[in-house]
Amino acid sequence: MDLENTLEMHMKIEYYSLTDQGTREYQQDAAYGEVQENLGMAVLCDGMGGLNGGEMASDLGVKYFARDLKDAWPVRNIPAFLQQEAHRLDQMIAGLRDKEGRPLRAGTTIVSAVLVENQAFWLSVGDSRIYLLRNGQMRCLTAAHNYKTMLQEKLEAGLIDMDYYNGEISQGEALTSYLGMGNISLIDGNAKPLELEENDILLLCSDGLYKTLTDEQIQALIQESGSNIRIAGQRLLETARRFGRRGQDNTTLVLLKYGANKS
Amino acid sequence: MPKCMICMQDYDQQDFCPFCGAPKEPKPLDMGQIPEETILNRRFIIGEVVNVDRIGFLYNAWDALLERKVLIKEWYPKGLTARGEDHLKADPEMNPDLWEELCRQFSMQAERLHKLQDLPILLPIYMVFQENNTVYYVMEYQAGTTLREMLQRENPMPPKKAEGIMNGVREALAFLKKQNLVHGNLTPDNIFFSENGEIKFLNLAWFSKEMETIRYTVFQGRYAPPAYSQLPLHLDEAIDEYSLNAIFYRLLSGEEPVAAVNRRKKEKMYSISELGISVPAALEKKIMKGLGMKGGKGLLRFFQGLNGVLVLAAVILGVMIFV
Repeated sequence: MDLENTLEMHMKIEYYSLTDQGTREYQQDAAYGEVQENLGMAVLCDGMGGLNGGEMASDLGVKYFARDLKDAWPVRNIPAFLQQEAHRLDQMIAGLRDKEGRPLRAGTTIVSAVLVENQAFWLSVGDSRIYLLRNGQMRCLTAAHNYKTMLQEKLEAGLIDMDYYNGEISQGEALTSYLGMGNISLIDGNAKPLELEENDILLLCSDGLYKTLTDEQIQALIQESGSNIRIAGQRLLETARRFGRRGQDNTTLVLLKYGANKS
Repeated sequence: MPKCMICMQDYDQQDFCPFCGAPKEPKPLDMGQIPEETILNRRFIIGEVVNVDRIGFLYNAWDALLERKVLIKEWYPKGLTARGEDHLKADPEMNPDLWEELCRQFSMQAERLHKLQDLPILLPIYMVFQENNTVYYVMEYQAGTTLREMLQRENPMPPKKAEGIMNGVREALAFLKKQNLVHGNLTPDNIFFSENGEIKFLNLAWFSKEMETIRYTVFQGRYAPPAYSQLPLHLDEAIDEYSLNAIFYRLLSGEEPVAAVNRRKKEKMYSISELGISVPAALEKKIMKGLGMKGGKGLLRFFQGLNGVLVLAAVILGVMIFV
């Protein structure tokens, strides 16, 4: 008998999600996730747009993403599926109309992760984020699709000078890509799978979290939770509420953990 | 703006904290603790000592990163280490290799408990780190009181109150048992009542070959069963059961129990009634039996009450008449 195979560890994926409306009038964040032993998916959208447009956009974004992935499963080429799905959702949300038949002009960010055994595939449009925590280190996998990123890239390429940058940076949070723009051009994802290691944690979050807490604080809160993603999620949200007591944006987070199956 | 090292509030008053009334001057380092306002792990500002036991100091502290109050336990075993001239570095009075190994094991125990944060009967341990030639772990701050502090306010405790507390402790211990855990170091210092009345256990025991030589230094002998004098040490339920009886004895009698190992050296431990405290006989018998002693009413108790004196007088009178 091969001892190494006998001792091979069974891995499983855990999922935990939390959302908080904060002090805002509308809840425009939405999230959904599912895990089945060694398969997992999570999607998070942060909507924008007047009246209930943002709410509708994020809600539909999440629902349609989950439905489409299920319908298409098993998906052979997950990166390609995610790219196509971003275009599909973009068109669908851009086509939303109000009761009078006028364009709703709503939009939403999206971040999603699909985990198949030890491989993760992710997608991002907008400025929601995905973080990877591994061996005590945390890094952000996504780049923000906003004017600030664009200005920085132009500054680094020498296309603009510092004076221009400083003059424009107050508009830095404006999104340069989101679902509902119609014909989006900026879609982030990984063509090659992210190979997961035991106890890796993926955090998907809306800007309500990372604009209230620093990356260092987010990392500390997850690490101190002893690999328990339920505790980590609750502490992240509680701390965001405490730090944002003077006005807290909608805050949503999803945690996915790839770890040993103890059962 | 200065920060109060007791309640951790910021204030600008001159000589005392307007929130808790504590004087501004730092406390003297008479217990061997590290000075207040020391920064550990580039993050935690050390405040006052809230408890000191055989394992080490428990400090109030401020987590500057997450802007919250925390508790920090320092591995500083009683009588086995001192401070260096900087008042920070632990200077152990033992072979450095043994100290290093003990630090490693203390750290491992803390890491083990760090993974058990979903157990509501333990104060969550956030992180473990090494500094000053010793080990620290950071715990969630919760307002509350230890059983030892409760005893400082009411000693001995009325039987009904003591019984209520012990029932709660038993329930919490049963929960621990369900998780296949043994506390192994139950004492009034290690039972904490949070503000909402929940019981939390502190300072669970850990054993190893290296610990065997210092077990009585680190663990409270008065609450440890005779098994603690046997090697190798094993953590089992009987240890907690003994400690429960010792704690119950402490609550009812108002006296520290005599360590089992000392009783063997003929140091007398009085039963509760021998100390002049009235408790139900069956309860006393159970407690004393749990402590490996004959329980119940002794002759002394019999003569202690007024009835006993009257009976004694009658007996003497009878004998005199007979003679």
